[in-house]
Amino acid sequence: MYHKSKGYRVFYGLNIVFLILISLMCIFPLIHVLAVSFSSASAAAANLVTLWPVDFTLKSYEETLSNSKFLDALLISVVRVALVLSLGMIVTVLTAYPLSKFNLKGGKWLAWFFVVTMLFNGGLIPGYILILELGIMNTLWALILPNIVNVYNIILMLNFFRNIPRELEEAALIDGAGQLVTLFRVYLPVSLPSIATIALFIAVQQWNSWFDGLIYLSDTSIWPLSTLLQNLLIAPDLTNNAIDSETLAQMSEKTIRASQIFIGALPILIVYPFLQRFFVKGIVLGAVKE
Amino acid sequence: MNKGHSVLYFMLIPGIVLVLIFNYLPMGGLVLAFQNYKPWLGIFGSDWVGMEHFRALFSREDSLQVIWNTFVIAGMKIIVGLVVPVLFAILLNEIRQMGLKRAVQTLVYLPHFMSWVILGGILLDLLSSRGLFNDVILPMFGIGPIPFLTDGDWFRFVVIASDTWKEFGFSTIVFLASLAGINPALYEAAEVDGATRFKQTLHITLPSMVPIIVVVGTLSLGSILNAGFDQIFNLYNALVYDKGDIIDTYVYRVGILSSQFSFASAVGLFKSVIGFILIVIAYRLAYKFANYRIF
Amino acid sequence: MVQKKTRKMIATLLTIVLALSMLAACSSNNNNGNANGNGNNPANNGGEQVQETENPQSDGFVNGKFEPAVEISTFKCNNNLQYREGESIQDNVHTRWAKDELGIQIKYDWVTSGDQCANKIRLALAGNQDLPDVMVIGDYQMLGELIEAGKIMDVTEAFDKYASDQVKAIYGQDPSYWFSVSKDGAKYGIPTLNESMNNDSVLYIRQDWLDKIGMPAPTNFEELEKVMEAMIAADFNGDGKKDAPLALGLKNDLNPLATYMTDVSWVFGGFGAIPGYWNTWNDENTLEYGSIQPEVKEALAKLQEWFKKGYISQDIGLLDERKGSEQFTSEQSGIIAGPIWMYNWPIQASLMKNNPNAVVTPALIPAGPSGKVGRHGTTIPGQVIVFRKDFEHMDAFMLYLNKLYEYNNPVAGSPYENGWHEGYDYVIKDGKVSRARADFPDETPIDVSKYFIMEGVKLVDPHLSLEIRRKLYNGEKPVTPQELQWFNTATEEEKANPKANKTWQAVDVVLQQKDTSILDMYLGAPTETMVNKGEALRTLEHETFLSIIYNKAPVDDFDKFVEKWKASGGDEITAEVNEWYQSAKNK
Repeated sequence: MYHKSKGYRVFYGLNIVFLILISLMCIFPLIHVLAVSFSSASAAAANLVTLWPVDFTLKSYEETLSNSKFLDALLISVVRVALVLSLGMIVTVLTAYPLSKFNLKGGKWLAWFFVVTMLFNGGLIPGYILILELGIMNTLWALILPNIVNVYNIILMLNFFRNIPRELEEAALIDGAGQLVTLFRVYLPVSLPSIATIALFIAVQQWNSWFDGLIYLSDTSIWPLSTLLQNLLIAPDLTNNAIDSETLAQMSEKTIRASQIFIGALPILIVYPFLQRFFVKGIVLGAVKE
Repeated sequence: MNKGHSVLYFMLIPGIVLVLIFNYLPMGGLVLAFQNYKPWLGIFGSDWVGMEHFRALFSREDSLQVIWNTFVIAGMKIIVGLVVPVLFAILLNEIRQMGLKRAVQTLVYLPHFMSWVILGGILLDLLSSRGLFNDVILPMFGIGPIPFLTDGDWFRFVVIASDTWKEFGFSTIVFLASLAGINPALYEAAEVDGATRFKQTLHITLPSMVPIIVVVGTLSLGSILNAGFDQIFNLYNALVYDKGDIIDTYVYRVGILSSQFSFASAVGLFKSVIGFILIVIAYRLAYKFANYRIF
Repeated sequence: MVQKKTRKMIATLLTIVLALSMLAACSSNNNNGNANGNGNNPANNGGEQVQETENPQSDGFVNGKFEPAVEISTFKCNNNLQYREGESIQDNVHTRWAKDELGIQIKYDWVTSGDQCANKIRLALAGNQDLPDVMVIGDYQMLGELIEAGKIMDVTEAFDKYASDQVKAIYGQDPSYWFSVSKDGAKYGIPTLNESMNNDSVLYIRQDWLDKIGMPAPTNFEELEKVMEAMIAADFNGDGKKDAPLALGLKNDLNPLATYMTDVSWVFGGFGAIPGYWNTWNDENTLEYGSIQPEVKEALAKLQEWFKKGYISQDIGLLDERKGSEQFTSEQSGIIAGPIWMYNWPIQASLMKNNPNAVVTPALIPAGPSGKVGRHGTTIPGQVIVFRKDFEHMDAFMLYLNKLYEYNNPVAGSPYENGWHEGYDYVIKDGKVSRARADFPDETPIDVSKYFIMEGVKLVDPHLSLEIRRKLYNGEKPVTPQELQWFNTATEEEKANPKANKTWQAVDVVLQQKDTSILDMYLGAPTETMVNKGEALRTLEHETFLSIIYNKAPVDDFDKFVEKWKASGGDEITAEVNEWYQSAKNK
């Protein structure tokens, strides 16, 4: 066995140290944000907080969690992610499967038909007019329907499908199963790592997008969390404005912002560890052997 | 074999319908690039100006410099952003302690969730003349202060490095998924042949990952002129315009003075065309040399 | 069998697609109800429903209010306001007040963030949607577009007819108030008026540090340099480093050299010109661009010298106003220039809380080498209130405006004598009126003016509050309700000793140098050449100036800049600006 060799053991030890160092580097900004969120507003405003709270207080969390706007928005974000995730996953699989077949006539051109939309888009105005004409302006559908198809995910999925041994498909077809049955009974069970990956991509992307909410939803009570948070980060337009200390103070409430960022990111952060069990090696083999 | 094919076409219908409505229909808006669009006149009422906006993009004295900056920064981000996650996925894949593996995996993906507004502030604190690097770390090695954010070349380095740092953990996921798909029987066979782990990596792991690397690489070429507005906007300053100003920040500054939907459309179209050409080339090359059809 | 299954799957799929499109159709129906700008939407009114009328007539004006209520729709570009429990933008103490007192139902058609404000209007125009009745526009370029699009109303007549004498008197103070909205003899809106000198700088200095080095507040640059030198040497925060004593922050895409906090304009003013400002530098009939005046070169040389000596930080180019002021609040720097209100935040709210022993005093702007004193001034006309072309209720809006002006400066015995609403902008504590922060529930007073249609605009005589605060600082007893309101913002200790109120002191200081404020006199929309070449010129300017300050370029590069600026569009811009100036002046 290779992992008994001395050289490999040295490598293995170094590898672990290296990976832990890298992880520490990556967790650092989050710790900083956390520390700020637990610090007093005055210390944060003077930029005195690094990796440990200064004048520890829970005030910002009390304020954030008592804000009904914040919790409503959290719920709307969850709804948005759930809807786009379920609809998007169905469409991604249904589209990627046929396109993954090399022998699908015109498949290459159909694939290009989708890829072109990754590059060319009409921009803000036609998109807005479309949403208006479809009558979904100021409804949650304006954030959902345009996001169901994600070509990048489709291309990834079709490549994952292509990596699945052809023998599986052929065996199923010989058994008399149709394409749909093959897809759902044979392909999907062995594609759990890729499905988990794409589910994560969709969830993260939908959780984070904020711009469409700002443009398509005039009613702030149905804003998703990302839009709400983004709006807190962006300073109001100060041109020609009568600026005063109150406005600035509120704009610069670093501790509350930090707690909101943290609470806002938390739900999506815990999705990944949960999905990780699908990445465990050997699933493919197990499925094949069954 | 062919009798099932009609089903395959049916499967495509929802995707095609959605793309037609939400992507192709609005593409009519590309004509804005050739107009002097005024919102209240509409597409049909605005004046046509032909290629004027494209000329405007190139007419500024340092237009080419800005396009070049964009190209260099985005290009480096694509390359580094591909190499690092692949290597990291392979290293991580070696870990057999599942708990550690998952912990590392989760931690490195955290920075992806921080916006550049926040990270920009943190980087500023780290890299300024009084920041952690210049104040603590570099003096330990006897190195003088480095103008990370006020010198053009350093600025580019910071932009590429910090982007890699933010995104590599997230990009690793897709490669880990492809690693999970490798048939363990291959390793078992190699083991029997007495191949070292390094050789196994070279001859089994890497080749199995090549398709997905090629796909991710090719698709990212589409954004060869998107160097990351949010990041640069939050970090740059007038001192690094020469090396760090990119197309999007330039368009933003034009927009402060006048809303130029048409100009922005023209710039967008230009970026799309360049990206599209590169994707077509990469697609052809992959097909010709690796005999691999990306999509 | 297989085919059957397949068919079933297809049927399922088609059902999904169908269901989706039906959902879309459903919500479309809902929305048609919403999108109709004038119809009342009970769901959005937050409870209080207005009686629907076909055509609310102005002649339904009884007992000082509209009966039935008139609806005025508008929008807001800020979703960061604080509300009391249960209140919202659509339903709060102010909207209820407007409805009950004036019979005006304020309705917000949309809310978005400040940076997307103009875009949202443009999208509404592009989508052929109805604009709100009343729009408050801060972006003069947007204003120009709306005028060009013919979407907004000439208000000359309505203002003359409905404005109260008080409002007319205030708007008659200075013809320049109307410059920004005047075009071809018409007035396309009502400018809001910022408080005079709201952003003009004073110098805030660490008095405790000055005392330790035994120096008085500097009156000119030479003394200032000595103070800075001493501050570096004394290393008051004890970190063993040579901290820059003067806090600046020059990251601002519009005008980094004349801004609110961390302002540097006074260094240029000390030589006699403000970069980025249009003013009559050399001839009282001609506007010229500040950045190309030779005085700017001398100021740049001075800043370069200060940079080399470590008086200003190596990071100034990276810091915006808020980040820049952290140098001061984290006790690295001991000197910062900023507006009169800056003592409240961040100085008191941050620095004083972290270090209760810190003492900061507002001081006069020091004079340049030739004895000149100058700083950037606050332009009084700011955002503009404009009205949809066929808006029918100018009478209602003007009533709203008149009343706001009236009650913001209430007469004795008025129901608004103590402020707008108890528990919001004032509280009664132990039978006495208080406006001090500590006496409010959660220590959170609510500035009711933030809920006005013209958010945050004080709507009083622009010069009034400065005069009041100066009086109070000089120990005069408050007499009028407005004076009392200001007086009540102070702590008991300050009421006994008004000299201890630093904000009042800052007002006193800023007024002592009243005549040194220099205004940006161009109030029009970006001209044609500005639109086409402005970005390149501005980029060139910021790059050149910052490079000179950072000692990356010789001071003489300034001359090249001036030449280039003039040749690549600057001369045209100057001509266009003066064309505007002549036409605006002769109205």
